[in-house]
Amino acid sequence: MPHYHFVLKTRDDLIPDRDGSEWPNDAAAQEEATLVAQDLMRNQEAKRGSWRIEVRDQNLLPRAELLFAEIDQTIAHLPPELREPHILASRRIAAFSDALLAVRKTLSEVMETLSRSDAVMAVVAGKRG
Amino acid sequence: MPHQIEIARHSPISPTTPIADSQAGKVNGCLSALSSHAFSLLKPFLTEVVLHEGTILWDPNKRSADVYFPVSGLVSILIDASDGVSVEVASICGQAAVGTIFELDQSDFSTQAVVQVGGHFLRMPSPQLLLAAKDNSEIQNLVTYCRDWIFMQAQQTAACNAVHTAEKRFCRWLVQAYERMETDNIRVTQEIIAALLAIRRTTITLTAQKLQIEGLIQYRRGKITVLDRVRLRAAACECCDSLSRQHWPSTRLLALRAPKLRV
Repeated sequence: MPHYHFVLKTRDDLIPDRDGSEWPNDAAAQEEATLVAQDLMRNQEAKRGSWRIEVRDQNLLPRAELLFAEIDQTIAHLPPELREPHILASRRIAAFSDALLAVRKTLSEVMETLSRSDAVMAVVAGKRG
Repeated sequence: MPHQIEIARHSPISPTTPIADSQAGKVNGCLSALSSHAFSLLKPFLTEVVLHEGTILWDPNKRSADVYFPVSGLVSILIDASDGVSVEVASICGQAAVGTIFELDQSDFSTQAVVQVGGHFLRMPSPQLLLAAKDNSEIQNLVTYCRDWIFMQAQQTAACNAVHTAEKRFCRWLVQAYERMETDNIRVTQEIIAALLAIRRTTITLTAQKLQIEGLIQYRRGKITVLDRVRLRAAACECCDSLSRQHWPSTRLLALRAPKLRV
């Protein structure tokens, strides 16, 4: 049976699913992602509309991404002209969160590189001395 | 497939047998809170047993004729919701006792009790406990407090399930488990916790992963270790406070005896 991983993307974090689990096909994995999203946003629907679950296959390649706002049952009864702006805003917040995460990651890598270069420079300076 | 109850010591415990888990040095709080006279009324009927994870103490089709005093381990009382899903409404550890005599006596409304964390238990026949309760007010209080404890938890759980998030409920379950079992190492699988809280196992996996990244817990297959009690409690819902130590049957029994003990 195919193996899938469900990655949770909140506004501040990316939570990996290291072990993953087996599901018959992509559709079943996406159904699981929907149920997990409903678990995680229950009673916090307004705040967590921009959270997402990314379904990845056994090679960790993305197969689907689910935006919580799109499956929010508490706004399912609203007409599209009221639902769509909320979904659009949630999607934009999600994109902004991705950008912030990327910046944080780059900064972390730069700090690490600088730290390594300090160590190298210290050795070089020692040899010259 | 449920495990069968395995009796470690089939005969009643001898007068020299300590009411303790020999490995962890634990006691059942309710029994140790009784005066020596009250305890002497129950002692002849107590049998020490080891119950493994998955042991069913009773279900809607078969009520239990015994009462169990956990020394270590944890028992969940479950309500069958629908489609084979059973949700936990109360958990019983070493501060209380568990048995159908503490439940509602309604033939068409019944619960199931399952050992979720295996351990040592002291077992006695329910009729003997009820008989002793007629003659002794301390034992009567024990029965009342254990009954109260189940109803308090059921009421709080109903509210908790209705309004709190999956993460807060998961943290609440862990806090209650470490407080009541008095250990930071909780031998339980994510599958079991997910079933008890009626949420997806993947939800528990992701939540546990988040807590692990934040340094609150560490989990391996079948075992969760609490690393930071203070932060875990802060991450849990307020239900932890509503069901805290002062409400435990053992604490209430001790509080009743406290004035006499001071004299």
